[in-house]
Amino acid sequence: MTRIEAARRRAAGAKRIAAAAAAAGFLVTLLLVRGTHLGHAATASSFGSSSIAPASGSSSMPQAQTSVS
Amino acid sequence: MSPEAAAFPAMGVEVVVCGASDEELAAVRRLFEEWESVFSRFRPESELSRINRHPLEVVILSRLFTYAMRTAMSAAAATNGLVDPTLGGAVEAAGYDRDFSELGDDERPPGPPSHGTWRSLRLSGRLLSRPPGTALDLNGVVKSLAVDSALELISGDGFVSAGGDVAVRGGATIGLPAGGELQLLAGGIATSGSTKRRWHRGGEPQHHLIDPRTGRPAVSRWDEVTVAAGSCLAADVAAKAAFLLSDDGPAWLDERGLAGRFREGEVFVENRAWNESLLERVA
Repeated sequence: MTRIEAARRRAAGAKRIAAAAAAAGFLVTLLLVRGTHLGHAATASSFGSSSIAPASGSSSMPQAQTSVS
Repeated sequence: MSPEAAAFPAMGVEVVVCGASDEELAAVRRLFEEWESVFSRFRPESELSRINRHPLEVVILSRLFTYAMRTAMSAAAATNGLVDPTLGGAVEAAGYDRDFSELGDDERPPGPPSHGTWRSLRLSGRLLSRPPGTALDLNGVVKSLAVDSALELISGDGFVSAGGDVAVRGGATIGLPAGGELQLLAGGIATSGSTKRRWHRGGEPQHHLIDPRTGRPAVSRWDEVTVAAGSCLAADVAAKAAFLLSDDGPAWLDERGLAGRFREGEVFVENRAWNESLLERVA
């Protein structure tokens, strides 16, 4: 094998490695962009509605407190 | 606190859990520990701190951070930017740069104001792009989001509360600030205000609720605003927005069908949705 052929082979190998690295990088980016599903995403854009009622003295419900934290 | 409730400290507040088995309670504790380690502004090794220090404009987020970031941007959109995740610089400029328990009055004047810039954020999957110098602070949503997530770890009826932000399944009697109580049958309830986390900087009173329009601690007619909504997150976000909107807060909540109670000193103002919700139940 001549020195020119050996250099061509090394260049071709380097090209394949570079192409594979680029493809892998693209794949990783794609996965990062798309792979973010975390079940149902919470949102505050629709605030929903609560169900509140006057307190009942005879209620057996557990007691909690809302306050500024 | 209910007899079967358990409590532990996390995120600088007391977390109360009711209705959880021992395994579920352990899972809830792990959730709060993990979230605090990721989102704390005061831990240099937290993901939030590392992102705020990161020199590149684009950063890769963890799945949990992505989830909270997307939620924070959704909250900003829902409130027209009143609840903004880019106010980390502003809250530090006001002097809130360490755990509140370590915060004292400081003779130095506040730093320069820093306006909210959430519209400059770009989130594509787990890639976040933000302008250089942006300091994120997700505390506007993280605590209440953690409360909702913690309740999902409990299989039966119960509630989770963190520093007074509450999510309920199956009903609970909720004590209100400065007296009174109601029953919350499902959803969440939260209170925001400037009465607790207060300090002085350069002789001027400061608090942690930053108005993104001024980049300074908000000036509001209200001391506290309590809101009930479909989730703790929604209640918390709406309460902050209604506080910042001052006189316009009650109507803003009514436009969204949300019940709110506002306290100004010794005076309480309930919006239409609050009164109608309670009266309908009585009738």
